[in-house]
Amino acid sequence: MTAGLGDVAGPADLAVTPRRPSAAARRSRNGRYGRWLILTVAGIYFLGPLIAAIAFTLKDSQGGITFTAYRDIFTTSNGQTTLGGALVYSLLISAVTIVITLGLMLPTQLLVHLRLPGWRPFVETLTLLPLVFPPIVLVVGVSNVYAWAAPPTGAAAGTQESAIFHVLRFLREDSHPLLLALLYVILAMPFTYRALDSGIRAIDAQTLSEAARNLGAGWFTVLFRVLMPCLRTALVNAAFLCFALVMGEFTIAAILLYTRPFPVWLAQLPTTSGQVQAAISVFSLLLVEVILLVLGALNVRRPASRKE
Amino acid sequence: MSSLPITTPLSESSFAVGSGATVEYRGVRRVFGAMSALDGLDLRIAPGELLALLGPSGCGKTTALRLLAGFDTPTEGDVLVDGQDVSHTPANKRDMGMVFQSYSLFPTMSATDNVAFGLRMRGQGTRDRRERAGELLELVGLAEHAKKYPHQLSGGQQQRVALARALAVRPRVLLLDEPLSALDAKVREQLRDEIRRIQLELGVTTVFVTHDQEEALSMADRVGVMRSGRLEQCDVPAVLYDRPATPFVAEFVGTMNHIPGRTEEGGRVRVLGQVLPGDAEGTAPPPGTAVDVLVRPEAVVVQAASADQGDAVVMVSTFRGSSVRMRLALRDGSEVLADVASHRAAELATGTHVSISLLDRPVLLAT
Repeated sequence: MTAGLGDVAGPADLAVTPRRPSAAARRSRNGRYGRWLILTVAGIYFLGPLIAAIAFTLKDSQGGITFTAYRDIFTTSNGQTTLGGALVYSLLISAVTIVITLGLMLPTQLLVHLRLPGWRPFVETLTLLPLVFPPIVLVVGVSNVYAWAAPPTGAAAGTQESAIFHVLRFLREDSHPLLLALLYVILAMPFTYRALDSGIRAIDAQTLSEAARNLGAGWFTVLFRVLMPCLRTALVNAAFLCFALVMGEFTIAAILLYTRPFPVWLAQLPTTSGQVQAAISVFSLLLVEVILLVLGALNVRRPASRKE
Repeated sequence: MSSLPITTPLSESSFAVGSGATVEYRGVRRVFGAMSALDGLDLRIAPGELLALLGPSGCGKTTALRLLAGFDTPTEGDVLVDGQDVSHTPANKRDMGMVFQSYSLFPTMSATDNVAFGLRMRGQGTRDRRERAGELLELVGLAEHAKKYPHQLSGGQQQRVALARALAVRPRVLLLDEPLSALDAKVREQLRDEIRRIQLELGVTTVFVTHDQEEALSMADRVGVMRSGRLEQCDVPAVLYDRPATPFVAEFVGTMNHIPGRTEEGGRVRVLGQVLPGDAEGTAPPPGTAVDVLVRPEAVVVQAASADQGDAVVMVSTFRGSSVRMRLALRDGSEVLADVASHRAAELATGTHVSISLLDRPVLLAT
């Protein structure tokens, strides 16, 4: 048998015979080139403007490098607040929006999933409405309700104010912008619903909750100790989306005359320095990216660290 | 996967569940819209008994189990445990342990945490929980996997942990909802033996839902066969197999031949040239009525015969270990299945002419 093999092709023959790459190897190589091409184009498209903006912010009048623009962004004000104040304000709105969104959406979606599956199409359609109606419609609605509830113009001092007006005024307070958070909850609904829905579908929520109930757990325990740990990825994803939406939303905040949310603050800067405005954009972009990375790091699964 | 011998004794008295609870369904109906999933179920399960509910998909067996678990409430009737009506008691207040068909371990908890979960809900301290969880994991042969997470365990191991978890709370009733259906044949057989061993040792009343007749017959003290929300027959496996109460039970449990016959006086029936005592469901058909005689393959006696004297020809033989199942073609074109001992297979090869007769015992008639 060994001799037979030697007759066919010995090691020496193999050493001198150039081998053509197989079709599979060629396809693999072409695929690798294709991937690099796509990555390069995408990289230029996304990173190109950012790199150009950074280069612009660092350039001084003599053609050297200066960090003046980045120093100035911390002292620049729109007359109401500075960058730090605007960021804290928006982060606060983000946190409130995330808490309200998850507090409302998670129990609702679990209820629909576990107990009322027939309601799913209705709820799904409802969550899509914010995509159908532009934000301006939402703002006009809020303004109209506010105007309707407010005392008539020229009313005598001491005129009784309606309870709904009190509530709206409280929500509208500039110091605790609950009204903005509530509106952002609605705006974020199409995205958070889908993030949570895909998470709930990925686990067998029905069986897990029944198993926990069978072992003596109440609904609170089922939600917080059994289902929520399984839905951590979906919850973080929903929080991501809320955060990204709040940090970029301008229309509603501006029309309702809020001046402290970060996007509004950015748009209303009195500075005429293009370098400072670009530096603020770069800084905010990097800051949001860092915050998203931190949130993402929280989502890394470390099951082995859990102990009984 | 490790497998424990069936005779492994339990050394710890803490395993004892005590005498199992009595379970009773009294006229239970469960209606979903226009469909009746359970239609007047009356059933009593004795303390420490393992009762299997067997039936095709949609027969109501899982509904019966879910009503007992507390995941659903009956439209009519009562579910009683130890004489106490629990029909409207929430699932988390019923003190029952359940193993589900799908893998139901909590994915973010280790095997120990899973087993200890029910004890935690009962307010037991960490040390007691860990100790008890360790005992139960040892009982199911998974002590060395205590720290693993569900995704690190095989399907069979996951179901063993689920069984340990269900037993950890010392349940009044153990509920098994097709726990073996997702496992491969070998593991299924091992786990079947282990569940039965543990159930016998603990003496816990157990309701086992399955559509696998082999599982039901081999594990249960009694088997309840269900169809369309009703209990057709509930009896010990041997009676269910040998003396099925209805053609449906006869058909569903084991394999059954339908051989044409004709009734005679005195409730007897003529079939394949023999006269045998007949047993019809409901009113016996009058003499001379054409009926189907239901006969098990092992009740068909096969002998080699010459071509002119034979009743049938062996068409196909299927080796089944200790026996061979033969498909026999009769002279009139109909077919009969017969089981013969494997050592006789050589003399009854395919194409052999054979004579067939039936064992002299009562046969079930279907009109």
